[in-house]
Amino acid sequence: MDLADLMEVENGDHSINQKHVQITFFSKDEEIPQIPDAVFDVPTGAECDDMNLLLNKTIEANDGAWKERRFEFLVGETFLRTSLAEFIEEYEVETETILKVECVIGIEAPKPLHDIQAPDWVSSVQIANGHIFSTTYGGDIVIVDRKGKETKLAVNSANRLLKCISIVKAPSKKNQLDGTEFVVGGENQLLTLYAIEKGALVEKLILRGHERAVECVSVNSDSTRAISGSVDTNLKIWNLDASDEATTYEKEEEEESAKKRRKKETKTKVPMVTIGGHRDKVSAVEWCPWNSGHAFSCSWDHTIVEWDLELAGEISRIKGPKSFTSIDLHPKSDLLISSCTDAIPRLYDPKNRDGSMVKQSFIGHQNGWVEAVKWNPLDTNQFVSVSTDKTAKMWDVRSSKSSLFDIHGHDDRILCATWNEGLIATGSADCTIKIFETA
Amino acid sequence: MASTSAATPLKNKRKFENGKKKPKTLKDEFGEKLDIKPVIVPPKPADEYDYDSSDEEDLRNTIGNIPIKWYDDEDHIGYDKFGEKIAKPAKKGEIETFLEKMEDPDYWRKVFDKQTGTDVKLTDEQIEKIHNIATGKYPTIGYNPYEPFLDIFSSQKEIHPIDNRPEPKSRFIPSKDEMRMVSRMVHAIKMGWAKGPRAKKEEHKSYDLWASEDALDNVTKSQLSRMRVHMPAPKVALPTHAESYNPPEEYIFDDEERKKWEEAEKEDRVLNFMPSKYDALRKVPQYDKFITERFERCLDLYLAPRQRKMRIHADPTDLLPDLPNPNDLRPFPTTLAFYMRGHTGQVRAITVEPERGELLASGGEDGTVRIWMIATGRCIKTFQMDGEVTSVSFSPVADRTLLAVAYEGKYVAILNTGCGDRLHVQQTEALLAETPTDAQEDGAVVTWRKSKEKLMLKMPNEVRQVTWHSKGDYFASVAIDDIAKSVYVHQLSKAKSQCPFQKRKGHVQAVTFHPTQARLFVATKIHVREYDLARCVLVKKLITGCKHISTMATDANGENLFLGGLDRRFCWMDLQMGNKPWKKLKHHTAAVRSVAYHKKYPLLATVSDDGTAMVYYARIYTDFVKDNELYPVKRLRAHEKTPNDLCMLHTTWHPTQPWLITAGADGTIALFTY
Repeated sequence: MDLADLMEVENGDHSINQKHVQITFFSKDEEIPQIPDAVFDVPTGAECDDMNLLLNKTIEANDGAWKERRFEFLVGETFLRTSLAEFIEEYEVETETILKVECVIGIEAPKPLHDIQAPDWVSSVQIANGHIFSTTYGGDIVIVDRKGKETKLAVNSANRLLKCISIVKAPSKKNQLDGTEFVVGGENQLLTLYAIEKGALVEKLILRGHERAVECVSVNSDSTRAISGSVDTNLKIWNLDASDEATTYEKEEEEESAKKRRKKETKTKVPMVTIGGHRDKVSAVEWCPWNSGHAFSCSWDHTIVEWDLELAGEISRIKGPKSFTSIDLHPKSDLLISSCTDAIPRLYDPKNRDGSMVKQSFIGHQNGWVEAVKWNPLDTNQFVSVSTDKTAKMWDVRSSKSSLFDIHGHDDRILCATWNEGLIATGSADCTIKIFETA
Repeated sequence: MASTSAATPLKNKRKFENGKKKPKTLKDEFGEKLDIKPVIVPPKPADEYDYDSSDEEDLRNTIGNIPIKWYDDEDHIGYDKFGEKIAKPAKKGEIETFLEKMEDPDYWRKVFDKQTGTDVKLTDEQIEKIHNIATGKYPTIGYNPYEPFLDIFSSQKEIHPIDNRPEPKSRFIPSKDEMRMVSRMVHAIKMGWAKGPRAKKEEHKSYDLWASEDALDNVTKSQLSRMRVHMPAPKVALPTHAESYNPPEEYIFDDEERKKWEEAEKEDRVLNFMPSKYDALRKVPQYDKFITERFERCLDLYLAPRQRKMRIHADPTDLLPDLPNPNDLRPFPTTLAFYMRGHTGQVRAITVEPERGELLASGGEDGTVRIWMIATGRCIKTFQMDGEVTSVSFSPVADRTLLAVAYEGKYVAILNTGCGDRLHVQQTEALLAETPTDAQEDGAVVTWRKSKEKLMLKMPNEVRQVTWHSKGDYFASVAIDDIAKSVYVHQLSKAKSQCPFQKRKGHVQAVTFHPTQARLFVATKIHVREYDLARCVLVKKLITGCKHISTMATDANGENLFLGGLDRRFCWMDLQMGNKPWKKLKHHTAAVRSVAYHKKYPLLATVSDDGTAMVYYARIYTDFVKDNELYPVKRLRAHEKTPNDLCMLHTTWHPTQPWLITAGADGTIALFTY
């Protein structure tokens, strides 16, 4: 109350003409100490910085050990980004009653780290063990480390038109590349398991069985199984164990010693299970975080399906309004974020079927498609979405009407994104991979 | 006979006795003689006693009452009291009878009596009686039926009563029975057991003096109709300021106005009086035109006819048809997702692979055919042709990766795209390798040859359009020139081409195959003809209403035809409803370049040079109960106009999604989603 008096004294000449609104602060975060239940009379011209100053001084008055920090303010379901006057006018907030403002510890904006030039359109990106792995539509595999240095690998056989990548195994030593294994899939209906051995890319396994282009691939956490989706509407589960003979495709041994030696190193595998339940192209697959025998897939037939891979059957099906382009499941909160062929990412709860299907719709992208969505594995509230309107947006699930940050930089449609180890990587049709660092 | 004569006098005696008694009674009662005619004296009884012949007769025949006819067969007629037979009287013969008749003068009086067996002679009295009976007169001789009437009572008035008995006392005393009955009734009324006589209530009647005026019975038909369509007379205009006795100054005439008013004709004057000014009301003179004005008013009311004008109060919204909400007709494309860039110059034709819809093929002015991935807009393959591409078409069979391309230089090429399923690509390669191009006839107009994984057809003229049959073996091509042999039908499995028409029926603009039957639709500039290819006959000729047809498409069943024209018109022909268009629309402001109908969704799209694509909700019903539905739902804008005013050149739908793909003259391909 003293601070309110001080503010009135400071604005002595202007307070007569300016509008005022009564607000109160509260928080659900445990890091923030108890905020007093005081009601503040604030002019509507106040912005985030002014409210930050007010809140910091209020907490400091009660708790002497408090250090000044930056807050984000949630009003209703929207982050406060402008002045109170503009916010009230834009969202038609009722000013007769006391405005309740939720305080959240401020998140730092992602900092652009690197801009990597790729030889062609970037089709997918992954981050593992301090390195960024990406594929292009020209069949290239680009591997960049955290410092932006690109690793040139000798490729034995270049696949044509790659579409997806998934990390199978990463070495235990930090920032080491030898021993890494990943699987890629593309237009040639094949999935290939590569390993990096002594600075060279070695083709280990060829997974054959899809009828059309492979659209998506995912490897489970213990690196024994992979699941892939294709344009032919099928899902196939692969056994990545090289020593398993049941799924190995044998050919007649040829007499030529050179081919014989190479054939011994490269094996061809057939799928363990083929699941056909979708009616259109499968656009994304994800392993279930809480059940190792389940997986999720989404398709252009407007559905997200949960599968039981041991029974090769369907558990549940979510129907959406549009064709789905991407899904992601958070390993901790078990929430599912999805993107469609429109501008709105949607939040689903696959475990809870009560109430409406869509828990939250995040409105902010312009026209076009949202191509990919990705959770922040370190925070249950944040995800990133990329769109054909050349922007990437960082969202907080508590605010569905405005994003946390807008990430600009690409000149063309952004096709893929990933968020891991505190890094966001986006790949675009302008042949660049942009890497941003988050707190 | 004696008994008979004896009975008759007895009757006469009785009657006469009655006659005698009556006058005696009258005399005895009144003691005076009555004025009555004298009565005929009956015959004397002495005469009766003188005759004893009846006794003699009885004594003569003693047989009793036995009928005589019982003795017809006997010689006797009974027995006497001594028991001896009585002999029959002797029968007279004919001769004896004849002699009696001639000699005896009383022969006519004699009657034979069977009872006695002798002849009886009738007396004069008896003969007269018989004669009276025969002529219908009274049997009694001398009877007078018209005897004078004798009154029962005397007309003579007497001074003494007939009955001298005095009146009894009870005649003068009221009846005790009646008194008892009345007392009982009074007691019952007092006790409430019975009701007294009901008092008749007089209703007060009120008379309506003008009842006849309100009733419609007295009204004539003309009066009734006049009441029904009553038209009041037009009202007289109210007075204005000029008619005041002290008007404002601006209403007073000046010299020029007064001269103008006086010179004008009386009918042409705006005012029929001259405004004048008086400072006091008492100085206002009498209005000298009052009679004239009233007369003219009555003349107007009498001569000017009046007419009732029916004014329709129609709400404009009621005249509009009931259209559904476009949000209820979703899904249809609403937004531009992205452009696919790569062509330089016009993109003239696009086509999507069937069933999967992953790949898009486009042909352009730069002489290239490009294969795109629709999901990302990435061009994954480019074929270089030797001329500008005019038409591309994917084979409708999903197992083949065949693409038909028509390009300038009079060529049609059948390509293997090499994209998609590896197995299908290999099968397509084998199919192309097996084509018997070497077995062509000499002198064939169209020459087939193989050229590194594709077939080349050398056509006699420049090709405008190439289209496949739904089975995938036949395809047709149309030439740009206006000649008789502009349409060719080619068979892939036999490497053969033939021209189905010999005569020129018009400048052919487009052809398309029927999806399910062996029929061909040929569109010239004005008409569409449907030919049966199996029987080689013309099935139907459609009158489209378009001046210059530019494009044609059918639905999945082949029962509807969609036509677009360069005169901005779009026609929907329902082939089951005659040969006239079911619907004609003109929503574009420039030439319609392409029409596409979706296979799964009821969506129809037209693209035009005005830079817009119209999306319609077009539902087709196969039964005849429901009519087709066509509603415009969205107008999509994309692409940029080129200096020669071309914009959108072709369109097609995605086979599984309600997405529209358009080809533009600016070198881009646009994908519209929702």
